[in-house]
Amino acid sequence: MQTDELAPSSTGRGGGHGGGHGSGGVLNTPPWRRAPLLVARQPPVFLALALAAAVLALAAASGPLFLAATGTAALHISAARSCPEQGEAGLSVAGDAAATQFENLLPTGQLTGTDRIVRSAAARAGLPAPYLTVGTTINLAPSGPNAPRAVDLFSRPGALDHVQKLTPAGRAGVWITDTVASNEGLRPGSTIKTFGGIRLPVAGIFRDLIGRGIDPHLPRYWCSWSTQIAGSGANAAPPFFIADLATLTRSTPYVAPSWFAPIDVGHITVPQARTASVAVASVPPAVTTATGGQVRLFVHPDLGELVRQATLVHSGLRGPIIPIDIAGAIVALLLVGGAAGFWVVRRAPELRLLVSRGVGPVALAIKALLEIAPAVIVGGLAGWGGAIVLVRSIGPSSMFEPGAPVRSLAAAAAACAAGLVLVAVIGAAAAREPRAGRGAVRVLAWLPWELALLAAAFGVYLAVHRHGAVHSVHGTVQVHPTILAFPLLLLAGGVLLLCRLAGLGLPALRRATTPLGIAVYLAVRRITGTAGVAIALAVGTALPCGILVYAAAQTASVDHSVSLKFDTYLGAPHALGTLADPDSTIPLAGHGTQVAVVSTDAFVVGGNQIQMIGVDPATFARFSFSDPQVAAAIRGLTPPVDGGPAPALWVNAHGARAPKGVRYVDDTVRTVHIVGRLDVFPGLRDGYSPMLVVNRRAFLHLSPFVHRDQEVWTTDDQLAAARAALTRHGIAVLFEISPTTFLDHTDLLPVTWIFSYLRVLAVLAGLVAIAGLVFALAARTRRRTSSYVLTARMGIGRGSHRRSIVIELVLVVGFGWLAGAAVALTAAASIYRRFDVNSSFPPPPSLSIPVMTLVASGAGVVVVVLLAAAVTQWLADRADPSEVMRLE
Amino acid sequence: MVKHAAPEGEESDPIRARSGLVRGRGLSKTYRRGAEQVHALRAVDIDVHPGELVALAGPSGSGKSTLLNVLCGWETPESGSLAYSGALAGRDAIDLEWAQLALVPQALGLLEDLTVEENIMMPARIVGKVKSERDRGHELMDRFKIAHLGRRYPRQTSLGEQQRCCVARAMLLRPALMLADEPTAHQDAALGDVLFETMRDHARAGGGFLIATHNPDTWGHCDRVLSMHDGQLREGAPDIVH
Ligand SMILES: Nc1ncnc2c1ncn2[C@@H]1O[C@H](COP(=O)(O)OP(=O)(O)O)[C@@H](O)[C@H]1O
Ligand SMILES: [Mg+2]
Repeated sequence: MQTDELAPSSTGRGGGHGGGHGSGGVLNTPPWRRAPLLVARQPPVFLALALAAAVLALAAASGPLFLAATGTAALHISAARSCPEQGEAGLSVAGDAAATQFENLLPTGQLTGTDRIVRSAAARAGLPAPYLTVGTTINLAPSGPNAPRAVDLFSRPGALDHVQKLTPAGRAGVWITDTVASNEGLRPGSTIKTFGGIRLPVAGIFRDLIGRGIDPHLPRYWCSWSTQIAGSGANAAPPFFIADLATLTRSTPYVAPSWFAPIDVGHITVPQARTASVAVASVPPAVTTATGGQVRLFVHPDLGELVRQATLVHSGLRGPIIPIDIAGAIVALLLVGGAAGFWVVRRAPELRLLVSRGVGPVALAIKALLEIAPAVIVGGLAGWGGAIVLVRSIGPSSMFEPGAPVRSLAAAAAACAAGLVLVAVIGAAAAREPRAGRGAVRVLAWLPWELALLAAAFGVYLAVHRHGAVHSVHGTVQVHPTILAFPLLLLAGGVLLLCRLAGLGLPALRRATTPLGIAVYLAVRRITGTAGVAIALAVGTALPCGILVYAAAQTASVDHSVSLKFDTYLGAPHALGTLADPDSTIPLAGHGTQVAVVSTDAFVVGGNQIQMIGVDPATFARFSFSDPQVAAAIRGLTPPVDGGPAPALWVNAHGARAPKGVRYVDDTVRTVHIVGRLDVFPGLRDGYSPMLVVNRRAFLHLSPFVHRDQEVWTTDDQLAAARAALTRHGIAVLFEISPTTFLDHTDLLPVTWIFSYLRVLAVLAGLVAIAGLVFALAARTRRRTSSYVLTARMGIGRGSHRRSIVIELVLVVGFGWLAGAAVALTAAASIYRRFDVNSSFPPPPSLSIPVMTLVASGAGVVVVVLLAAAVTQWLADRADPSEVMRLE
Repeated sequence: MVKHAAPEGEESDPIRARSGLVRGRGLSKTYRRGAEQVHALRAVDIDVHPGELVALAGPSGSGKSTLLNVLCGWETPESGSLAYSGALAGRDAIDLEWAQLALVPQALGLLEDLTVEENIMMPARIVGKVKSERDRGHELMDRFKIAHLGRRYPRQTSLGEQQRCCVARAMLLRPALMLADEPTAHQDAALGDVLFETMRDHARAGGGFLIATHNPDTWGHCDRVLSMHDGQLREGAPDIVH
């Protein structure tokens, strides 16, 4: 912005002629005495400075706060996805002297004493009082042909509150499931006889937690005991009964006790959780000592694992977030610089007078500092408070780690100090001969700085290609800062280069629009006449829009790629693992397709293990995630004819030679005939090894030693019907396949958060740009009152004037938007391939164009243009034409 | 000094009075500056006739600019009447087009982003007469010695050149009446003469001019001199008034 030729309007008005010179009295007091008073006399200057400082402090402080919130948020999210006990400090009896996790039993007689010792050790460690859970499997005396041989007895305070009781509570004894009660004719008051001859009274009946044996949906309370309750894989579990502790200990000589100190990791910070996980480690040695080595406990690893994962997420974010934070602070510094420039403009008469009296740059810098510091301090504190409120309300978590507010205050203070240095520099520059700098500025502007930026971007691009943009530490995705440095450098360099190139075309544009209407004519001349302002506006638009588009493109691409990987893993919207007989055909009646999966028991002849799936070509494409290529390929998968080779597809081979045959785990060998090769096929469960796809009938008559799971794949709308068909035929569904084994959404949190943060930065930069736009337009309009009044007199109506402003802004801001979006998409397109959050699993990433963000940012640009035009018109209309006749 | 006679024997006074371009009677304007009241115009009577070059003299702060503001409709007088007649009859001052009432304000009001030539041609462009008035524009630029500056921006020219540019812009469409505030303030004597001679040429074709100027050298170009003092307007040059 050109400010040096600005005639301060305050001198012309109000104070009569030469108002600036009339304040000689104030000038006689030393600057440090007057300074704080002066800025308070000019509320607009104070406000502009305080606002700029607030934005600066907000940008600087939000980084540390955001980081402090991410670890905690990751902890809470992981805790919500785990069983409740995994987020507590858990202890169990160790099976070996080394007290590793090998779980063992405790003689029942030692339970009470051990419990007392554990409680006091936990209290000494500062943990909340633990609760005790005890489980044991007891064998029953044979009572009938279908009667259970064994049952699991479980005791935990309050457990009965989490089942549906079918009989009134009251007596002590064993609560049994309604399934067993009706099968065995048991009711409250009956007795169960253990193999050892102990009689246990039935105290009540509750509804079986796993319904009728199909697909358990257990309440969260029972999450940790789901295997005992529902069994796992093909192994059905013994009935799960609940007993009071006395009954349980009476029933068995050995028990498996666990203690859980309920620290509720879902509601505390990472350091608190870490403290608890460290504290609990002191309990086992204490117990060992107190029992004279008789009882050894081990600490459940879950809490430590949660803390470690949260720490990983946090440390994975530090690298990218800090640079974004600094970039945001630099953008905000521009705003502070602008506000300081405003101060110089408003102070121009006094500054000129001081300079003419020989006051040097250092004195002026001190004057600027003293005058501006109060506003910057007030604004800085407000911005810091704003950052706390902002991150609390829209950040990943509302809980900060202790110390985070202080750290963020330090960051805000450092940024404000940088802002004050800038202010001092600008103040000192005011002492300079205004014309002197012009030539230097022109030379600096002429140099192609953007090429240096582009070269740096290219360097980062090479680094991304060499090292990738992400890697995974214990499953948690760690994003390299290069994924942010590259687009920022490319955006800055690319947009500046585009602006320079567009600038070369301006004279031609000027000539071309000469014969056009007056609105276009004026708009184009305003752009070409002060090209510096136009370039600043275009860049100011391009950067935030570009950052938004880039962040959206990368997020959308990651989301899309991950969902493609998930789809590949699952094979179909729903993949149900069943207990159906291997060679049977499940009567699905058109509600799904049957798939046989050999995950571990097949090998290439003379080679490595491979995955195999057997499909039903008639129905496969309809119910699976099949593209036309897959659908075409499976048509060739006919059943093998009389011991001949089975037609097969060779998938995910990574160049491995196609096999001639398959050797199964029982050493039978079957030949295959490769009819097609594909990189990806639905149902691929292991990214590292190749997969053979054959007709399901190719598995017929294999020995029972070759383990092949029978899965039912189906779509959302057919799921209920498919389940009903399975139930009708008495086929149990064991589980639904879930992709979390190879990629959990928690693992992606760093990616999600980094790009959310980048978006917030873009929005901040956008707001700064809008403020700058309005400010620049307002300053220009004030300066151009007389030409506006004169052109109005010549016959340019308000409509034409407003139209010409809209055209000007549409051209400049529209160009900025286009340039930003184009460069951002270029940046995204050139590195998305290296942004693979799980490169071991196909398919590789694909680029998604963020249509919504493009549309939304475009609409935002239109709104800003219209608003800015309205503001400009309003300011122009307020001009008093009678001022024009006299000198401005 | 004698009252300026109508030079070169054009129409006689009575005819002029009947076909005057603008007639103001009893125009008063008061500004309030805090408690103080500034009487910028006190019951001013003024007539400007076609073909007449009228100088408006008076010390700084006497109310010259205020009178021009009132005449062009940018300010409304508290009392008195203002009527345009002849070619401009029955119109409100503010509605008059550039070809009828052209202005040279002290602030000039050149468009920063237009070149000197584009600024001068602006009034023609707005009414779609760029082609037909191009020669006129060039002629004015030649006469005002700014032809070589046509492609420069105003900020790349001197204040005097900008002022000549502004006068050329005002005269481009041969306005019926032109109001100018100190148009020769930054001109040397020779260029001041060129400006007034050009106005005189146009006055011969029937244009009327009211030019605020406190430079006595320029009064000689004018048909009449009016002098302003403390808001009061008198016929004759200030020397006579005092
Ligand atoms: N907007 C205003 N507010 C208050 N006083 C004004 C205003 N405009 C002009 N004046 C005063 O009115 C008087 C006449 O001003 P002006 O017409 O500009 O004089 P001139 O053009 O002869 O120098 C001056 O005393 C000036 O200070
Ligand atoms: Mg004046």
